[in-house]
Amino acid sequence: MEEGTRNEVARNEGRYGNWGRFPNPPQRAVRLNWPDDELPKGKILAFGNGRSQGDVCLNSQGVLVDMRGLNRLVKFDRSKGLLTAEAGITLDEILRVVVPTGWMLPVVPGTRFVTLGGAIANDVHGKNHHRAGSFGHHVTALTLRRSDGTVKVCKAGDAWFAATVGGLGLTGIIAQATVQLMPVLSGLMQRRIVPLRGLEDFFSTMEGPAQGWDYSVAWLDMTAPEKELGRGYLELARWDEMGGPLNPPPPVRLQVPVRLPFSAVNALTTRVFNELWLRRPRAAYAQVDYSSFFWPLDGVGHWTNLYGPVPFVQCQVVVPQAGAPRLVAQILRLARAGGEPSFLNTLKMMGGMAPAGMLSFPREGVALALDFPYKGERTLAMLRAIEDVAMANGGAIYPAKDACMRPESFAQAYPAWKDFLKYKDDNMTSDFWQRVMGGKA
Amino acid sequence: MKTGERILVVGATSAIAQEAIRIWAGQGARLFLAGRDAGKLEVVSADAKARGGSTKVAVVEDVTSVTNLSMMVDSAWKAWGGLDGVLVAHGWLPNQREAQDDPLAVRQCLRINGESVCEILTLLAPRFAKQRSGWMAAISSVAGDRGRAAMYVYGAAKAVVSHFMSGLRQRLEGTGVRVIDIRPGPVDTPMTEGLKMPLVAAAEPVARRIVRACAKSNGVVYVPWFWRFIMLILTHVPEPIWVKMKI
Repeated sequence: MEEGTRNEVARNEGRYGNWGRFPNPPQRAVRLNWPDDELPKGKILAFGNGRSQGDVCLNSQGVLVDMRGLNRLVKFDRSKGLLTAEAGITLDEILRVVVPTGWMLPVVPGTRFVTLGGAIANDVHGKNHHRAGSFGHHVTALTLRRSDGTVKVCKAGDAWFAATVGGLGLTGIIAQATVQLMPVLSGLMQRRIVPLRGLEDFFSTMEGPAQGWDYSVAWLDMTAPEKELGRGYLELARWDEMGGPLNPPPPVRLQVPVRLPFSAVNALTTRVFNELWLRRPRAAYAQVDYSSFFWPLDGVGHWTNLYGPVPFVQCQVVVPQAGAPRLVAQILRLARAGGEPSFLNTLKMMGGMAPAGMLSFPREGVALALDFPYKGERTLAMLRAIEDVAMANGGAIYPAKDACMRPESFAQAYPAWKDFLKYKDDNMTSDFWQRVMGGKA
Repeated sequence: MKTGERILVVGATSAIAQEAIRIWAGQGARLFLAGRDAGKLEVVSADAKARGGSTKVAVVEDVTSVTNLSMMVDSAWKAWGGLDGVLVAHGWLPNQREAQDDPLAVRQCLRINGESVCEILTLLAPRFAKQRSGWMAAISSVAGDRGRAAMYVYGAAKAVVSHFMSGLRQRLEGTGVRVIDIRPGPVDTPMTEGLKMPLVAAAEPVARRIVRACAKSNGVVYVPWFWRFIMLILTHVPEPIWVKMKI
């Protein structure tokens, strides 16, 4: 597309950026409104709802293809729970339709405001990875639009399908996809809270009492002193089988409408947050609505505005099960030594099933997610140190939340990348891909 | 049992109409979707069906042809054995700078955005009046409230619709038929893409407001609501001052 044509929207602030605003280079974008709208020329990358953290959703040297206009349902078979939709639809928009009919997405990430295409391209996972695998395990078919104008219909099991799931949007524009939903009797879940005095509690609970729960995740308090490293609580849940209301997710009521001129997230407020939120007394057993269990943060719109002008970075790393207690402790210490305490920290025991895609991040081991206000070199040095620990021990870093992993680390943790090149579309790229390939591909 | 509301949507592939259709479909409405592009209508219809609506579609080749419109109204009325409401949502936004010196573009704009809407309402008014119930909604615009240099060709056509509906509402008073003049401010849609506009609203909340208005309102509905007050002020600016204002 030529410069300055009517369809081109160039806006850096706001719409076309990642969730943490680091990095934040200017982007150009073209919106698609209909399934057969022409793709722009040049190096392209599909852009969904901008919920990834690093540079997987950025394409500074080319044009983003804004997919949010393609958010229609194509077919919903209510008897089989098979839903086909355009890729720009958000999981929130899907849930609004399917939950009241007794169906649920079998895998949901920590925010429901990701698009279907983004969920597939990053092969997202949730609190039930140990039971249900990743999002890609539940996709039965998808349609790819290649930059040469061809359209590929891929089915689960195909090589093209495996390349596209977790393929970072580089095998073509995902136009639509079919998901096998899971039946639910109600939107209610049984939740159990297990307080953790330290990391040991996490591992012993996961091996013992946590067995038999379909959903599990631990929230860690990074302001805890050294002897309580890994303090926090473990959240376990399963669907209630008694029947009850089937409500769509609630609308977002609270908004942080403007970006604060200062960061409200600092050592002090993190401490206060941890005291009020992480350490508030919780009933050991409770019946909760699925929305509050899956997306505690989605209740507040644009909460990242609380970070004010300070961008933030996330880091999600998985380390192998063997040695996990030692490695997780080591990473937590590095994160703590990095200065600013990490605000939201989750620890999750991942399942052992074969990944759904060639470049899928979710894999067996223990996954730790941390986020930090970005304070320049100091933050980068800390992320480097965490990366070193992961790499020296056979771990992996999640591309969808990464802004600085080195090319060698990507090549080591995602050894299928060479094979993946066969499926990659020559006219598609991202800032992430440029970075980890060092311009090789 | 099909008991959902029977609604004709003209211009069903427009961004605002699509959002309204989704809401109605989720309520189990029986929709008659009219538009120019068969392929796009199918896409919109599939979405509505997947959400629980029932749909029939009709391609209207030329909205400026009364014959086309009359056939559309006939088949919509027959499709579900009568109608409960109509939303007229089609529109064309010409480039003001190009249109203002081109009489054919001015004519085209007045026909598509003004005349055709009045004609559809004219065809439907006696039917609704006879059944003594129903609602007729059309999307006009805040641009129709006062002529601005930047948008008066489009605005004039929208003013035609507002003026027409005002009279029609008075005529139908007491028949049980509601006439709803929906005046949105700028909305972020493919039609307005690339334009610099103030206070832009998203299509989805605008559609939600429209659906609510169609369910109960009678009269003029500004979307979002604050445009009523902005336009109240702007329509009262004395002309000698107005001509000098750069808005």
